[in-house]
Order: sequence, then structure tokens, then C-alpha cells
Amino acid sequence: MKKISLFVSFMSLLFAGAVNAHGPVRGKLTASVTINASAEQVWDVIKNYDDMSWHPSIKSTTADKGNKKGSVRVLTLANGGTITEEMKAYKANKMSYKYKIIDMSTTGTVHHAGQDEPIPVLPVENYAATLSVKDKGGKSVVTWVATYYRGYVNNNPPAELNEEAADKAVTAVLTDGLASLAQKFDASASSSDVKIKLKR
Amino acid sequence: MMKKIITAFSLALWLTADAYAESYAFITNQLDDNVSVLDLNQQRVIEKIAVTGKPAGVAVNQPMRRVYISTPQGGGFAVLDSENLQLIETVEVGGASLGIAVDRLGERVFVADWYENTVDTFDTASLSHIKKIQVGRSPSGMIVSPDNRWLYVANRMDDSISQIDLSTLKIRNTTKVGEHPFGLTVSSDGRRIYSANVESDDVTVLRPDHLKRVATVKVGSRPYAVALALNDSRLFVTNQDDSSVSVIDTETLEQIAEIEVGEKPEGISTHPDDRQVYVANWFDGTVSVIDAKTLEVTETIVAGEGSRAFGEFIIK
Repeated sequence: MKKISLFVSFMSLLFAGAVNAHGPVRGKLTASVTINASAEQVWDVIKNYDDMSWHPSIKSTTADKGNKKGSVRVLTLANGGTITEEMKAYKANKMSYKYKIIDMSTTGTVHHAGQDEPIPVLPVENYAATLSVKDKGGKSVVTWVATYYRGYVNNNPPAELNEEAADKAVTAVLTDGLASLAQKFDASASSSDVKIKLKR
Repeated sequence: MMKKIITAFSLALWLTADAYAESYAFITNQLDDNVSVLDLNQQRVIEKIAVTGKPAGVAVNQPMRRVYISTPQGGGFAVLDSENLQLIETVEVGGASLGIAVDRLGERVFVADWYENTVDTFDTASLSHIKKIQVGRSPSGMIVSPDNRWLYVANRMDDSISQIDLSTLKIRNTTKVGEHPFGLTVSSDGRRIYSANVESDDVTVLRPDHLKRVATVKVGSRPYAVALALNDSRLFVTNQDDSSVSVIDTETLEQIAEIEVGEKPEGISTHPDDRQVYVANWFDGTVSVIDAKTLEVTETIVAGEGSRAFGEFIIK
């Protein structure tokens, strides 16, 4: 884990190339879904930082300071992994909050360029996200925006820690979460109702 | 006759004043692969210049009316004409260029290469390569002293700052600062150098002689870059993870305010009026304008996706 935190520090500032060239670029993935319910009703389901039960991949959630800035929550995933996140801002009046990942468990390692590189449960670095709900003519639009770098800091990442792996994993987390949230209000909702926009 | 001369004279004056009053900010939009040109009189984007290679860093060449844009994915930098607002040329450098700076006479441009641990020097007239200087690991922010004698380089992975002698293009001195120094600035008298240290959440204040550390000032989370305003009396620091700008009184060297701006604030530069401070917000794709006197955000201008603007991005 020590190594991971070192990665986090290094990763956070890299702007250099992608895919075939010179290191990572921060990606910005926006997922959104329109739900046929009032913004207040939807916000009511997701507003508590210590309750991620609306997300199918998350088994349990604890947070040390509720919805306060700086509150640290630990998400335990269905597969047993954990993600630790820190609350960066909470705006009840705007129905939004943002947080960043400060620690993660790993699923194993990949041997690459002479080293064993740990693979975090979410193969990303310096991940921050904002979750918000807005009213749109009586319906609500839930938007979940994540920014992150790929999991490998140097040139030529292994497949497990490249941009594609990061994008795929984050897309799955956001899509599953929003689809499941939409289903609470409309049983026919599905992941195809979640719009994804990736910029890198 | 006399009247005509006076009219002509006042017209000339008016034209001069108008030309002088034209100030632009060049905001690199990394996710859009372009540069937004912000007219600072109108406070709006008047042009977008396509620059491929994930444009990140900016440096302005005031005398030559040029703007240099580092393109980390393009392995070099782009040269823009700051009057016609057009891309003139692109220059290959090497691995991943990020930090970029120009000397005070506009004669040389310096490009820091993230992976090669070098600073490449180019002649601004011919754009020919002058020299490659080995520096510390992951060189990032750079700034030239007002007397044009020194180039300061933040060696991010070495937690240090190097002072390069511009007459010899050799390192004269290197000093440890906070963890992962990134953006740098220098006071107009050259007596103070400030570095934003991303990992230790603070700003290191240095004196140029022997690069002596004067102070370390705590700021917000993951500070990125720094800018001075109001006759160097206030230092503004972008805190990426707090979506805020810390304001430091440079006399007492204490934080006196924290101003909420857009999300992931990164690049920061001061208007020629020395009062308005411009902040590029990466996440929001906006520019926040801060009044350095009232410490309030007076405008928020949409720029593009992934607005980074790392370096000195305002030309007058």
C-alpha cells in the first residue's frame, strides 16, 4: 500500500501522452441518467455519504464524520475489496458532493518491467468524483463525474494498468451505480439509459 | 490646420492606448486540444486555436508577441502569434514537455522534459536548439528572474529547486523545498522565489542568494501553482483538491484567506493591472477571476474542457 500511495503522488501530476507515448493524461468520465422522479426524491436516496447501498457493487459503507468535509468512508465491495474515500465538499442546497479516493486494497500484482506492480481494486490513480442531482422539468438528472489517471505511472503500462483498463473499470462503476439508482424509481430502467462521455 | 493636427494626435494617442489595453489570456484546454484566447477587456473567449498533443503549459513572449504552448503528448511545443491569434509553428523536443518559460528579453524559450530530466533551450528567433541542460527528476514549473540572470526550475520528484545561470546555462545551485514542488513564481525585485509543493500542501519561500529557505507556509490540498498581485504583497495559490485559492500575505507569510473557485484549479496568472488574478479550473473548464483587493471572485468564464494553463499565460 505504501507503494500505491507513492504512485498516487507521482501520478497526480503527470500530463504526458497516452496510449502509445509518454505517460498518462488525466481522464474525465461523465455518466448521467434521467430519472422520472423529483430531484429531491432521488437526492434522498444518495445524499448520505455513509450509505452507498444504492450501488450494487458495494456491500457496506462506513464513514467517520457523516456528511462533513473531511469525512473518511470505507466502501467494502461485494468481492471483498475496499476503497477509502475522503469527502472534499458537500452541498445540500445544490444536491451534490465530491470526494476522492485516498486508499485502496489490491487484487494482486502484475510483473512488469522487472517489478511487481500492485493492481488496485479500481485500477486508477488520483481519482476524484462528484455526484449531483439536478431538477429538469420535474424529472431529475443524476450526474456522476470522475477524474483519474491510469494506474501505471511510467511509460508503456501493462494492460492491467493502462488507460483502457482504467476507463473500463470506472465506466462500469458509474454505469452500474446509476442504472441501479434509476431502477429504484423505474423497474424497466437499465444500463443503456446511462449516458457516458469520456474525455482524455 | 492646428485642429487637424490635434485630431490626428489624439487619434494616435487613442490608438496607442487601445493597443496597450489589449490583454489576452491563453488558456490551454487539454481535453479539447486547443487554446482559448480570453480577451481581458471583454472578459470572454474571442478565439480558440487548435493545438494538438494535449496542450498544458504556457509561456508568453511579450517583446516578440509570441506564446509558447507545451504539448506533452506532442513531445514539444507550439508557437502562437499573440496578435493574429494563429498557430505559427510546432517544435519537436523529446519525451514529454510540460513546464515552459521565456527569458525576460524574449530571446530564449526553455522547455522542461518530464521524462528526460532536462531543460531544452531554444532561440526564439530561429527556433533552433541551443542547449540541453540536465536537471533534477521530473522538472516542472520554471520562471526567469526579473534581472534575466537566473532560470529557476522545480525538480518535482527530487523535492528541489535548481537555479540555472542564464549566461552559462549551467546549474549554479540546488535546494530542497517541500514535497513535489510544481508551480513557481518570483517577486518583481527578484528577492523572493515561491514554490507550490503538491505533496506537502505548502509553499516554500526562497531567497535567491544561496537559495536560502525563508519560510514554509501551509496552504490547501495539493497546491499546484502560484501568482503574485498588488505589488507583490499577496501570493495566490491554487489548491487542486480543495477547489480554492489560498491567499498569503507576503509580509507576514501567513495565509489570510481562502477563496472558493471552480473545481481542480490549476494554472494561475495576474492581469497587467496587477489586481485581477485569473485561475484555470481543470474540472469545470472555466476561468475564475479574483479581485486581489476584495478577495472575491468577480467573473467565471467558460474556457473549454480540461483548462490547465500551467505557466504565465497573460500577454499585454
